[in-house]
Amino acid sequence: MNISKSEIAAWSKRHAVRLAAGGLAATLLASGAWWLQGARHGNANAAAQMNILPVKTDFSVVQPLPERVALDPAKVALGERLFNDARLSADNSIACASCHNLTAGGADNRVHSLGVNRAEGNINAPTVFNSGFNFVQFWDGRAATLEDQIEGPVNNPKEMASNWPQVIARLSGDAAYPAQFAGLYRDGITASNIKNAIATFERSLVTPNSRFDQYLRGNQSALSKQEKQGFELFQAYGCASCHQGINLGGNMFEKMGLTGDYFADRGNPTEADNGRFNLGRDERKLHEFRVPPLRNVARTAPYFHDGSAQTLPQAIAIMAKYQLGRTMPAGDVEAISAFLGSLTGEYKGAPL
Amino acid sequence: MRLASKTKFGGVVVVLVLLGWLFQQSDKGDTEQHVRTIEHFRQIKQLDATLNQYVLQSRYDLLNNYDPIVQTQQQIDALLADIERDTQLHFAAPESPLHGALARYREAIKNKAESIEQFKSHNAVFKNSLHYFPIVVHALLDSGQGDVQRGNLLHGLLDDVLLYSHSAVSQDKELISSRLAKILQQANGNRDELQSLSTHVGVILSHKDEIDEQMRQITSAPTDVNGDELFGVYNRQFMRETAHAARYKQMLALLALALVGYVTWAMARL
Repeated sequence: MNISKSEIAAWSKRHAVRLAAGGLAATLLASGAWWLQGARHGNANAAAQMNILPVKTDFSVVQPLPERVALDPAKVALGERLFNDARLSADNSIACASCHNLTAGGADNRVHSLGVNRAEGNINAPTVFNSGFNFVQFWDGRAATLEDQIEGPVNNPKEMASNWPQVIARLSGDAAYPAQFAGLYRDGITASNIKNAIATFERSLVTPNSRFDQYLRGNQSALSKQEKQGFELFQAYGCASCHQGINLGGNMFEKMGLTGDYFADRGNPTEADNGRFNLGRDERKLHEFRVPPLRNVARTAPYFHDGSAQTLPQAIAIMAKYQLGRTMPAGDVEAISAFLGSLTGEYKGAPL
Repeated sequence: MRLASKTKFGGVVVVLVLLGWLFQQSDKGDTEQHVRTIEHFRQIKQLDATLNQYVLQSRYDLLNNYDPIVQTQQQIDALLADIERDTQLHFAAPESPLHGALARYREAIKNKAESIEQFKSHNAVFKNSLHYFPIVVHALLDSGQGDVQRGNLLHGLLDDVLLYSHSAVSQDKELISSRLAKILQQANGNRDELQSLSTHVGVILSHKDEIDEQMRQITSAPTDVNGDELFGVYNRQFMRETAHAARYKQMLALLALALVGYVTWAMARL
């Protein structure tokens, strides 16, 4: 195809206005793009004004629980419904609340919980109350978060014996769940979102305003003389070396049987007795467990990972012998037991 | 389609494609995100130093609960997760230098966390025994009924153990053990208290060196060095991207200028 210069000149003269308008538009586009890049990359002032993380340190042994925690109420409500929903288990018989009964201290007051087909678990169910303050979950700390923890019971053949595809299919057939999830999560009903909702609800299970918390906040008459003495003894005997922090525990691991062979004396060793050893076969971690928090402890018998102590005085005496290497007079045991009774808080404004 | 239309259409397409490509190339290196990432790195460094402080405070009874340690570790994890999320394109490729630097940093943090867990467990036991030890010594002195030799041995043991618990050397261990053995040999006190004394002196002797070693490992953990390395690699990558973007931004400006020239030429022909 041959096009002469004169033809191009004639064509450009005919279409000069259109060419000028098109060129102007392209120029504006290019200039705009160039300006936009400059503006985007140059405007760093807003980002530079970010807040520094607040690091508030409380150096004392124990702190009161907060009155409330800031959480999305809609997620809490959804999580509460899921927490009580037995469709999470294979045979629709077991909900989270079956073993973590909120009217029984957030546990089930059994040595070992019962799962689907009345299968017996191998470790005592810890309370779900204030579990959001624990640094890890489970007795052996194998779950870093509450979300991770939920994987355990759902898939455990002795607990819910279920799986996520089955759970999601069931919840998707519900009249309300699809809309509830869609309103809170972009991707609707997924395993991740179910776990997030339940964990959010669990984080809301805080039990403030115990008499001990009132005492910590300055109300000297909140505790009896014996309870105050019990708190003094609790610290003096060294219980507070491990049971410290906002949850009086739940922020470290410790070996069971520091000053005596608890397992030999108790007999009938089980795999669960190995504690953190089961996670990586590290001998140093044999019989190591997460230190249980003591909030509401008077409501969560039986005690220890094996549920072997039926009462608080029994548990205190065992701790004194195997963890503290001390013989504790009966009066001191009673006083500490009385102090532990003052740790029972409130849930939804009512005593636990 | 006529030739003129084809030419016009082709010209528009070329200009638009060129603009889009230049825009995309000059879009590398988000300054706002970079400032946020730098801030995160700075906070992590600060929190890492605070973590060391807490461990030292905990060893010397200035901090009596482990919540601040746990919370600081959780904050570091959250900030690092934010950095990973913000810069995931760079970290995703296993061959990327950032990927390697991040893996080394994560490993250092994991090892430090492991040492901190051991420290927390051992320190709790050590402190418990150290606090109880003077009480049991005084109980044995009270029940000694004026036995001067035994009293001297117990006072000597008390001095040695308390000094040992705060010293940086371990040569006193044998002296303490032999003094304890002499006290136990005499065996003229309350059996439970003697047993308790033996247990707690044993705990102090066995745990003190361990927690000192753990403290050394924690405070000299390479998290600081690895964090600086990661920041350096990230920063160099960002500078490269910024330089790349600047070149294409210049080309974008040149194109704009060329188009302005063209428009001027076209207008002149009206």
